[in-house]
Amino acid sequence: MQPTEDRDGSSSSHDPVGEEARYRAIFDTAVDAIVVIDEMGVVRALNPSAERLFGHDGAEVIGRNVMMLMAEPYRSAHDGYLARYRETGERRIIGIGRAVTGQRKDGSTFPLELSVAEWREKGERFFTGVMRDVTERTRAEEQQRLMVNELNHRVKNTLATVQSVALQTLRNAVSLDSARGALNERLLALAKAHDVLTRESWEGADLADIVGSAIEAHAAGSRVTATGPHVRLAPKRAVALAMALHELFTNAAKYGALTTDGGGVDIGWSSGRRPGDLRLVWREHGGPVVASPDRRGFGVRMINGLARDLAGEARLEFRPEGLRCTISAGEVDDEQAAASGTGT
Amino acid sequence: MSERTKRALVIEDEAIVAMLIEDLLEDMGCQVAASAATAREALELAQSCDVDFALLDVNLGEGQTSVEAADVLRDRQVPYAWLTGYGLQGVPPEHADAPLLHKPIHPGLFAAVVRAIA
Repeated sequence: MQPTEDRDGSSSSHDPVGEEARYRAIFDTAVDAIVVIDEMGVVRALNPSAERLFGHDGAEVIGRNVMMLMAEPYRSAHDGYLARYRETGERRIIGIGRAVTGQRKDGSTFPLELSVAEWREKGERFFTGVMRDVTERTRAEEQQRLMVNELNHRVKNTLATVQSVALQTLRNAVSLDSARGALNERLLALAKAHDVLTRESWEGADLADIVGSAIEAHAAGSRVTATGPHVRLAPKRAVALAMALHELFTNAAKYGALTTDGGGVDIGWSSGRRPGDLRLVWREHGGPVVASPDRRGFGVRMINGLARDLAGEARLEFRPEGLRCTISAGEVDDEQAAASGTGT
Repeated sequence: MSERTKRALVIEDEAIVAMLIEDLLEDMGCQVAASAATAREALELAQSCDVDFALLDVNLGEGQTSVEAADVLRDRQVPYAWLTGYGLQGVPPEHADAPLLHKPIHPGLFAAVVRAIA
């Protein structure tokens, strides 16, 4: 640890283990980087961890000003800090520790946590700096901060979604009982859509998974066909589609093709060349003749909202064989559309 | 507000939340004259639409924002308010003087802001 010359032998004679050897062992094996400077800022010693951390051999650093290991603004300010400390004794870092920026031999910089101790020997003053690279920790903290922000944003947006569903359900309800039932079902449909998104870390969802989840939730598997290519949906569109499908299923089970034994639903979709191009067709068959629903009802608005979200348009047709709902955005390949039963 | 029905531009990427805003506006006797869910549509509408005021969701998902649309509205002297789940984050300093509404939406504050800008 002694930075310059050998100690006189007197202290080791009182210390059978060898004080010098003991400190040397700590210095050489410490995981943290240790640099010893004199009061003029000249490096007098550094340990192997410091050599690794800064990418320098000891010989390149010893005898030179320690500012070579620092990035700006610390680099330019350091001599001034030392001078002020020599004159005033005012402590800015000694015994306190702080976050600074180091600079490697290759010029790259990195965040450092630094603590400094002062000691004297033979009338000379030295400073020992112990340093740790906190790049990973800084990155992890930043990552965590972003995730908490993102989570907060999603929670607030989801609450706004629930607020919207609740207010619209109450607004259009014929009775408190029917509102209670409809609200429960809509919130459960929203939760199901979130399940699909959670499985994919909220990066999006497969259209087929959203359709499959809705079919399962409405226990309509044997009477519903779902045909279409692989299409990825952004999270918000996946949620909008899930809610639109929920409304279509609920309507079909109450008034449409799923009220009769022979009725069913074909769901088909096709994609185009550009990512957003999509046509989705809901086709009921074998059901009773349906009447046009309330334009201001949540279901119709949800379908129009989904179309708007997809930058497309929605068309609802009340044909003798049953309801047909078409949502189109952009150009789709007509052959593909025909193949998936949506051509006519 | 005057007697005339006020016309609004609504920029909101989530369809369900857009319906909520529409309902709240209609309850106040305003009309949603134009609405958009993407930054591109928002910018087009900001340039061309004939409205009395605008409500802008800051973050439109997939890294898109309403900031460019807000720049155009400011130049056209169309009053606007921000709507966000984030707080002031994401609103650039030059637009920070516009009113800010949080999600979920407080109907009373919403009405006060709309009355102030419409």
